Amino acid sequence: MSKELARAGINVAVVSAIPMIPLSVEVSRVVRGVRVEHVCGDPNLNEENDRRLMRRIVETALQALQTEVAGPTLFDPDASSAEEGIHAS
Amino acid sequence: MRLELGTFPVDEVSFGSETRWHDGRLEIDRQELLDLVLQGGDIPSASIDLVRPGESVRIVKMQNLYEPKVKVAGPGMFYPGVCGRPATAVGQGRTHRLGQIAVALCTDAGPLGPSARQRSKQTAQKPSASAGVPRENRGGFLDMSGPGNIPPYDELNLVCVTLENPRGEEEDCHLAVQAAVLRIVDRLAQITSELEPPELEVFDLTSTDPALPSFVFITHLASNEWQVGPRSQRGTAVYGQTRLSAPWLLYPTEMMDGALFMGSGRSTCWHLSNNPTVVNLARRHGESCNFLGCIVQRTNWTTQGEKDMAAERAALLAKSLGAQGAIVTTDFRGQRFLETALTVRACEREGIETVLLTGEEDNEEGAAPPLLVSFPEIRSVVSTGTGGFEQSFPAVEEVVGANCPEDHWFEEKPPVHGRYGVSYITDYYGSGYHSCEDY
Repeated sequence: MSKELARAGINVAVVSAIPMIPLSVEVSRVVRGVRVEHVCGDPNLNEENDRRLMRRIVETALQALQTEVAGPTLFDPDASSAEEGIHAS
Repeated sequence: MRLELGTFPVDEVSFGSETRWHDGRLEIDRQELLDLVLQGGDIPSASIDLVRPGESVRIVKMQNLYEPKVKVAGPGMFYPGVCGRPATAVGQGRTHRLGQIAVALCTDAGPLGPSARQRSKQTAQKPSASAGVPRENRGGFLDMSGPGNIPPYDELNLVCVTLENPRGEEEDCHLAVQAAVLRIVDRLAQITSELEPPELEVFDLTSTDPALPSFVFITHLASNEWQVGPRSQRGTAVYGQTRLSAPWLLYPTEMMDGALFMGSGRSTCWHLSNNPTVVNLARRHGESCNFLGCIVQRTNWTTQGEKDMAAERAALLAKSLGAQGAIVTTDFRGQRFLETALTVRACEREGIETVLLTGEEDNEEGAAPPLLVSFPEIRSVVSTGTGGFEQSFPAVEEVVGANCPEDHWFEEKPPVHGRYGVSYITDYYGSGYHSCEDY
């Protein structure tokens, strides 16, 4: 679906716990998620840290959308901010 | 390990006054088996039917297929570790099996009479209003004749056990159904205990020959732990353990002795203990190769890092065994296939020549790649097809496995295109195609 959206001229960022799969089917912008069961957050974190993690993932996705890429590219929320670790618990 | 496998071929099967095997003829006391199934009161009602290859019969609502085998010498019990059975290591001594016969499990709403074999649409009974909760139905249907009757079902007589779904918690119901069908499987195999088998095959894997190339078999079996938790019995089990774990190393003879149970994807208990790769490598052991063992790699790790780590563990285990080559299979698509591909890559990086035996994705007439992921290290792949079945399945005279089969089950079924979302009818283990599909 993301490739069809991209074909229609809409930039797409796919958040995935297993980035290798969207990258292998040549999705242009892939954001590393947390885990298959909870892609955009981590229930093991306290509420505040979970919220910050979610925000960081979404912000990374928004950043990805605004970034020109030449081919399948991985965006890592961890790399964009080192305030707290994803698995801080 | 050394295992003697005695086979009692079943050329003919019929109901009779006693459950016994004599000279290729299996007689089954239907009432005895019904009593065994209903023992304990967990299963509200049940039917037992015999179905033979070549008959115009379609089996529906099939959940699994079991092999009647019994340990007659050596430690352990066939299908160890499940439903409260001892988890003692198997794979040694002697095991007896009934050949050309398997027990097929179907489940449906009840109440069921002694037979669930419905001759025509008109004779079908309506299900009771108090029908139990329908369970997941795997397999869709299986034709016993026509183009859909393909290996191994073209040579397997089936004791078709149809159980009324028990009521209660899903885990309890699952255990009740498995325990009930195992009582039948055990009883059938037990009749061979005191007899001398007409066929005896010996698998002796106690020594290796340094002059021969050494192989391992790596089978990827999904774990449902992330959905059902670590203690559930639902899903493929290794000695009863279904959880996501580091790779297990099993002797080939343990695989033949039922160390793996349940199956996922298109696999069944029968396929797990008759894995053609395992049996054929074991036959070649000491002749043309050393078969060092079977690595059971559980899949469904839920982060990229875990998947990478699990793949490396399997490859290092294979290397530490001294493997020069590996045959790798998978049982599910999607992320499970990625984990399989990672294992192949990890093995190749360790210098182990690796062959991937797998089903393919539909290539969408050239628009899509046949494998979800493909690394440069994956150099040797044997395809078992896309799961498509290009012929239609002719109408049948009888339907087995449902209390009140809908009219469409008697009718011709269209060919199946092997696309994502339609259940695979391919089996990944290379024994042929399954003639079944989910509707």
